[in-house]
Amino acid sequence: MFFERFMQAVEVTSLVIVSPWIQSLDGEPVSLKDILWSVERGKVPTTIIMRSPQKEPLNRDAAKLFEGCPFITLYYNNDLHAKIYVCRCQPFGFALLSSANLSGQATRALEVGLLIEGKGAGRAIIEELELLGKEDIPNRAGTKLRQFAQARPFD
Amino acid sequence: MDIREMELKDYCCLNRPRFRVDPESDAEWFFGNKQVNEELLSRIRSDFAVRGIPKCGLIGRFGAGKTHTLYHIKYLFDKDPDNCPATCFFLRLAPYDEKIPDLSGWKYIHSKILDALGEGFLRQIVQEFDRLPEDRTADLSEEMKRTFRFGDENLKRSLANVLAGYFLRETKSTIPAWQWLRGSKLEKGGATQDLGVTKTLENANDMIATVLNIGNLVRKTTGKGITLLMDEAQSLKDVEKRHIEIHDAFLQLADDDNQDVGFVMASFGEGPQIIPNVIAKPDDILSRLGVTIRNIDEAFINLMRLIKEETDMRSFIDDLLQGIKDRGKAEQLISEKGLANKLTWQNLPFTDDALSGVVEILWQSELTRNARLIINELARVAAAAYHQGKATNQYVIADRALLDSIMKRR
Repeated sequence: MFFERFMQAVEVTSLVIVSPWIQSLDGEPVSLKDILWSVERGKVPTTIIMRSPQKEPLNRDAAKLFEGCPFITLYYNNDLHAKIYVCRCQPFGFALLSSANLSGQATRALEVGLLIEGKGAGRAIIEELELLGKEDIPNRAGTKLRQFAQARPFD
Repeated sequence: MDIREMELKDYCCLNRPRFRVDPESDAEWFFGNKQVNEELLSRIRSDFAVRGIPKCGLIGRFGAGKTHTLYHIKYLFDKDPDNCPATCFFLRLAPYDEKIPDLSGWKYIHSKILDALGEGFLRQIVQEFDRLPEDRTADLSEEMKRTFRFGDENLKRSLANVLAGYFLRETKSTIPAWQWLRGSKLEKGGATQDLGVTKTLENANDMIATVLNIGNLVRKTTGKGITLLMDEAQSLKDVEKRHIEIHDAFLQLADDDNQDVGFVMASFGEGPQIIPNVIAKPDDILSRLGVTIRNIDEAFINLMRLIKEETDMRSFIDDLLQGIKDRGKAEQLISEKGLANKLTWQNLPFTDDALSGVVEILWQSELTRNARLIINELARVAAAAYHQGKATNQYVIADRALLDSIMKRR
């Protein structure tokens, strides 16, 4: 639901994906390629944090896709267990705090999530979740930078 | 400490978890061109002298520091109550949407004002007022009513009864009182009888009179006024159908007759057209603020000039880096890693040349002469140095070459 909404969002200024396991989602309603198509089309500065594909072979296909995208800053953290998805866009952003990884399995398993709208009191929550994904987790000792986005945020 | 085990906070010797400035907790800082700060203070001092309470505004682009400046005003008032006798309350006017009844009209703004004042403050004021005159002969409600100067007799009586009946002692729920104060519809019969009210707040006039009367009570009790710090006032640009009532409410706030409830409204954008029409047209509000559309800058301070020269940007960066730095830790790190000939504790992890580079790159476009973007870019470059340092287990300095490789990427 989060990514279906992301695909339709306008004036997206930031996307954050924090998920230990990420798969290509081929055959799902929204595949990883669809998400990356939206990222590239909208030149969306995107931060992704997942476990290293060396440790988690399930992440290999996704890592390959991410490494080809100039708008993605990619980090690996092998202690990661949080699942957070944040989209900043007009007129207000939204975020999903969930038990579900960005994987095909998660679309069929029993998961729960909380979708937060970035208006009213939700705005501060969205901002905090975004900073959690863009600064707090990346700047922890156990997080390794894999690739810096090539695009400047004010391009 | 081993570089691989460091977090960014350790690597940059920050006195906080993030490479960030928080508008509220860092409110004592005022970065950039000092002349703008002086203009703002001058307007506030003049407002206290002439209008009894500040009635002015701030304008600036996204990220220029409007919210931070509002909190800075609050800090100044808290620090110097003798020269700034007002208690500040922060509220965001956004979102405003006339398609949604609950998000439009003066009632919506009135609710935000009351929520900003809050139960704790109202209770404190009522309790302090109750202790005031030792030779008081009238009961609390009657004494309050005498203090109120705005609205009709029924409104004054009703407000006095609500405040005296519900906020003096913590014996019953204040929900009915808040419903009345916010102008919500009350159930006929029981509720109005319990509250002791003879009228409800039916229109914007009654609502603004209620806020102004609370201001009278605060002045009498504490000797101070109330200043409403209204952020995101640009959302009032969407006012169309409710123009008359909202304009009139602001007019009453701006009027010379009110010296107890002031406002500082911060609005996104620049130039005279940035003031929402509901405030600027007709110009009777502006004239009460002592300006016309031509010299509007005197009442609405333009924060774009905070970074007016390249030297302002550099001084902004220098002040920022020192403000977020733990000096002791920085000096220790420089000594441990043998960096004394390359870095100063103030600039760490940046070389002086790199900071000149930040100014050179960001000064090129007016859009990037912006406090928030400067902080974001510094944080990005510092994070790049940190991650390279972790990968090599060596302290990587954010020098000009690294800076160019990060900031000039396309």
